[in-house]
Amino acid sequence: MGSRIIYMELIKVFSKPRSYIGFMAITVIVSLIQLAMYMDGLNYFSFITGPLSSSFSLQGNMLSGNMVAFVIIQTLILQIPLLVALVTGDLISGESAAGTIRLLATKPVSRTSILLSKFVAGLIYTLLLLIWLGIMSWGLALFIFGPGDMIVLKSEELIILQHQDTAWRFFTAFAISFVSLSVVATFSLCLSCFADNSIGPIISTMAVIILFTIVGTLEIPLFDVVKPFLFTTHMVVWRNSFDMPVSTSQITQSLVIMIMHIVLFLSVAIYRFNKKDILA
Amino acid sequence: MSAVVEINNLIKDYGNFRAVDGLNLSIGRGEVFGFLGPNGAGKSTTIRMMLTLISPTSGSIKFFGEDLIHHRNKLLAKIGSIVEKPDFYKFLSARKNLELLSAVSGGNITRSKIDEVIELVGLNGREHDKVGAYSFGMKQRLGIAHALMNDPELIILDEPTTGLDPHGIIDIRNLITHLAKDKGITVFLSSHILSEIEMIATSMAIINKGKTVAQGNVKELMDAEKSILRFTTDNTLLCKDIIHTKFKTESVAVSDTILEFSGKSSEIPLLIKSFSEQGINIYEVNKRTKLEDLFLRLTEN
Repeated sequence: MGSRIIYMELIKVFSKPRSYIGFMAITVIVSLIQLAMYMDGLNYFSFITGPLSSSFSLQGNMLSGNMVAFVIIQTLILQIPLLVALVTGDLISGESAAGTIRLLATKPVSRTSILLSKFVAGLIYTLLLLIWLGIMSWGLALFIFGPGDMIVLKSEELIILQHQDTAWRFFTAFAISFVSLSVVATFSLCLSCFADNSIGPIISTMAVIILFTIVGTLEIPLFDVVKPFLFTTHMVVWRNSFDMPVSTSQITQSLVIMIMHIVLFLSVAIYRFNKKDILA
Repeated sequence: MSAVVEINNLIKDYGNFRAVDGLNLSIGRGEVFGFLGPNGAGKSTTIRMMLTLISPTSGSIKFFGEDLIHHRNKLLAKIGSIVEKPDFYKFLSARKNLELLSAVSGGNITRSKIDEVIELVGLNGREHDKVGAYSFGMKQRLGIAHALMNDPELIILDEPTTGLDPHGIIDIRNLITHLAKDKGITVFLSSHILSEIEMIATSMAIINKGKTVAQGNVKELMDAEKSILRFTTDNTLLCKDIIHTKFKTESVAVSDTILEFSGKSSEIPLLIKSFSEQGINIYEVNKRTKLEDLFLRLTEN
């Protein structure tokens, strides 16, 4: 029964036009950035490495596929959660708005099973979106710009990674990003259980992400206490995959905290959905 | 043998408002049960509790002798339903809707079964169209197909003929009668159309303000009520006299041309003859159904 419900949910997700907005947005935005990089990438690269030119002599293929992919992913990291929430925030509330929640809730399957199948479908959608981002950013960049070393500029250091040292880092970064986006997916699914229209959960998810990001960015002592508990603090840990050496303990800690968030949000969603009077 | 549906002292509160107030119902196998009540009487709330869409504040609901809370999945597998509007996934075809929902409907619903119910409700030829392009009546038909596809032993239908054309209404009425008589399926039918209940229901309940105000066999309940006969005439004063003299009954002039009195259908020919003999013109004669009277009397507040 479980796989059949998940299949049903996936069919529904991929039959809705809104589910393709994310794929189209990634295609358009990444294509534009790739084109811009192809046309004017060296100037961009000179601009960001400008302060280093007095101390370092940079030679070789500076505009490598790896480098471009890193820039693209870093640029899009705030937009991708919106694309995820667009679909996952609609999973329960969309059914409430359309009245189809009655069809599901009067079936001989538990509400927990219904919710878990939607959760799994949401994760599969998130994974596919991320894979598409990987293909469009990293795959296409390697095809256009070719392989090469990459430079990671951090506030306190400059890391130069050789081409053969990049593939596993990208895969690790995508895996961590999947966990990060799963937190967003679960959070919006949770909010979706409290609403009878999908706009509320989607906007609320983005509002919370923006709020938490601001709190995480501001260097105010009061906020320092809560920062470690905000999921947004840990969502950027994918960048640590490009550290030298990679801080596995920090990544593990962030992954554990994000998984705890997923469990928390999912538990609240299950509780709420089971208790909810369906009046739609 | 236990009742198919047994509801005991069912209560649902929304804050300080009591939507359903100690409702008791008992429905036997193969019955077509009419569930009547004015808007806001608690019909939909009751149906939603019967289908686990909302939780009762207190009371119990049993299907086939088993408690709904403890045997929810097992019992819902034996029930087909339409609750209020027949909402489906608009971006999918009717067939795809049924195929997907069959995955969670319990039992083994085959493709041929889906073909069968599509044909039964007259949607064959249109089953591949997206539901978004369907009229309300077609969605209603699809809702009935959906309610029947798991071979239910009990069907709960909330206003199933709403939006249907006259042919559709007759089709559904015949279908309900067929399901109950020939297949022994119990039908729980909520409707605002009193004549519909009068025609097809074998038992019924009328609820008002969340309470049962009448319940029993349809014929027995209606036999206790007299009909209201209404005449449209050009001389209500003379008509009143004739009715008073010949039938020993008082009548009420509703307007200058309309007169009403409580009587039997068999008296209509004699009345018309008496009126004609006095040169009174009769333009229209109506008999309000007994169920309407019963319904209005019990729910007038």
